Amino acid sequence: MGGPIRRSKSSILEAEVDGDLSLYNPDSSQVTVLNSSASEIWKLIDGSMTLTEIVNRLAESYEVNPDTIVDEVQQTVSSLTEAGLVETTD
Amino acid sequence: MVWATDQSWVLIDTTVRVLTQSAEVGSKLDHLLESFQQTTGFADESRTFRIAAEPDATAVYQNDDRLASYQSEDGALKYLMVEVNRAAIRQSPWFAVHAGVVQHGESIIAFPAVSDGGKTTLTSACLLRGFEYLTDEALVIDDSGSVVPYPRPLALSPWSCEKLGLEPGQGERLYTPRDLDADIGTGGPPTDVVIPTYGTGDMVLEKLARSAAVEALLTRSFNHYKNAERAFRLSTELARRVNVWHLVLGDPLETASLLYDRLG
Repeated sequence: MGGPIRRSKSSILEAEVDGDLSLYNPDSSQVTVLNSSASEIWKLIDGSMTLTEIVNRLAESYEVNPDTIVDEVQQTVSSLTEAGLVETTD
Repeated sequence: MVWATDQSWVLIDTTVRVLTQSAEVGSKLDHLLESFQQTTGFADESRTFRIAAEPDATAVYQNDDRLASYQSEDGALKYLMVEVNRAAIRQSPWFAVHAGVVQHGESIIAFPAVSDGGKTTLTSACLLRGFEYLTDEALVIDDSGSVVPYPRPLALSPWSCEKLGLEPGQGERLYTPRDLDADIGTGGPPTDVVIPTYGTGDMVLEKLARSAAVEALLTRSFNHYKNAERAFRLSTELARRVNVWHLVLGDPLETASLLYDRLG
């Protein structure tokens, strides 16, 4: 499933508000609000892990079968990519 | 040129100076800006305006640049208010968001702007229902998180005047808060952010997650780009301590009554 996923080069500002994580990209003035599960995924995106590795890490933490969460993780990463917050590499 | 009046006011934190050739125009201006403190302080050339009588028109100058001319003095004054507003917000040293803000006691309610207008009408309706006025244009937040009053005159369309039971003008008419029997609020920390949308059914006021305020404030900010970190910090700090609401707008006066009863 591709190479490591990394955060965009923009300096993204982040702050938690009542359990939701608000991300602000000053370059695009775009605000993205992540719920708690999307926040978990965002926190694991550090440029070293592939999508598969992120899925496996979360599955291990929550003691679930990776197949049950792969779609949600994929969808979240796609949304973060569309918002210009992460970049995927081949 | 001989100037009949030469007055300066402090808007937000900016001194704006206006000279007029007609004492009558000066008097109208004095009324329109009565909510702001007069000063003898210095206004630089970019914030010095002149209203000059010409043979067939009344012209507005910014320093020596002729910006516009109008057949009526009232037209020139309305235009001047737009320019003065622009100068005040452009110079604001604080985080400023396009929003109306009203106060009742300790309650300070901000309505970030609706995309197709309506905040001035809703703000005016709130004043007629007993709220105090802070602004219909810019939620200005100082570095301690308090609202700085910016009580500019309210420009109401004939449609808005009709809805509010006010006498309409030709085109927009300027009302001061005193014209609406409203006091100016003292400001302080905001307590509620109300995000309005238009609807076709009943009025609705429902709670939203506090994080919704972060997006509402930052995406409607006039000057977030000047200091993005400060804008984000103030938006998130404010969001953590206010209640955030979604309001489906109805008739302006009924909507204002709903806000007064629930949040005032």
